[in-house]
Amino acid sequence: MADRVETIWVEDSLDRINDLAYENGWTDGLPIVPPTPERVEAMVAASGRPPHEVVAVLPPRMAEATVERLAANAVMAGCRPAHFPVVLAAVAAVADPRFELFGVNTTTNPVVPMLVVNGPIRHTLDFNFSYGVFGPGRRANATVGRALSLIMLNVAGRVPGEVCKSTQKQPGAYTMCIAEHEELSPWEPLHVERGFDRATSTVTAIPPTGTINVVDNDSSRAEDLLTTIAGSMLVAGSNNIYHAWGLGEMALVLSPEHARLIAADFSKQEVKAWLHEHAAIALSVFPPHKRVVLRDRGIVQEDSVKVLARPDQLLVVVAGAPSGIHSQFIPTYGQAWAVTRPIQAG
Amino acid sequence: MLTREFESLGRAAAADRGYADLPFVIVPHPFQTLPEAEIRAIADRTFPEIVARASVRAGPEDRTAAPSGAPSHG
Repeated sequence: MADRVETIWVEDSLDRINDLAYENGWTDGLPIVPPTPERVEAMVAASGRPPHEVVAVLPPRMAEATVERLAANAVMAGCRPAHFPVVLAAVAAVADPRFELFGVNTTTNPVVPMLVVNGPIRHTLDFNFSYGVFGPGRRANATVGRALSLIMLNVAGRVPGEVCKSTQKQPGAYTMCIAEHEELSPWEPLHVERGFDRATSTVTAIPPTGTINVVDNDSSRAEDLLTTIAGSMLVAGSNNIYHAWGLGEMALVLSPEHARLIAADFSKQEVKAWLHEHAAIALSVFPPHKRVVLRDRGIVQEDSVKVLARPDQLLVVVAGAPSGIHSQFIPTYGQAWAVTRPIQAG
Repeated sequence: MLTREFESLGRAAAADRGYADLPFVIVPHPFQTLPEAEIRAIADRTFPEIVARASVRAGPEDRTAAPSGAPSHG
């Protein structure tokens, strides 16, 4: 059985507690909510699970992520107890071996876990899936993503420099949690596509290296808009090239307006197939020695390299404001697969 | 076998898995962008230590097993 969390007695002062947490490297640099025994107990109770239950073993530290340890971090991040089941599902998702958490937490790459929430819990917990979906303002998105980030630091051991070798990281390391705008999606939502019932709430973990904005305000045909999107996926210096080896997915987060336009002529699967066919990086943009390497690996076709080795390597999500002509292409780590887990009510 | 930059990660990962005495061979960093001739020189220079580390049972008494003249393993 895993050890229980240690209780530390300190002066009842928010400033002193935050100084202590910062000095010990327990924070992301922002103030925390003090994880008092009462708050942690309330968080644990919301899960309906015993405090010492091991939810996962998290690399690189290979630490036992008990319900209680995760609860303490969720409190620190500002979660309400009702948010905690989402945090637990997120931890289960990133702990799946397909997510390759050791690499995600230690690589020189800027990759961080990004969460996509689906299902009825978007409404009951007030997740943002509309205006400014990647931005600040909604407690559920902000604190669930931050809780996972603090868990990576304090439980998994993602300590910058010492263990986490990321050269630059990215702003998403503070928090990166969106929900899908299912009501305005012309297609089935992500979790249904991945085998869950529409009434089931889920969280999907994706390993992005950043986001690339795709603006197109004058295409009125689906294929024209897809041409702009395909052109926006051609980044020779991203890990996209590794996808050409068949490792992991990328994501396309379409605005509802863009999705509506495309859906006039394409199903979601047809979108993936079209982009698989047309998103190809010209070999000429690579330096000569790399062209040789790419040819040797057998992934060059007609003097170009396809960004997607297969159509199913693209996750398509609809999120954002009802109107607006901006979407996000999300390149990823290239060595990890997205994982979806159901959110179990406490 | 690690580059110097990844030594702390490698040692921490080994210790967390119960192999605190796992022998390491450390090479300079950066490594992958060096000219081939320099990489070969590092390989030649490091080879005796690799053989030594790979052919003894790990343990406190083996920490000095590298032959004299071999590069430091940190």
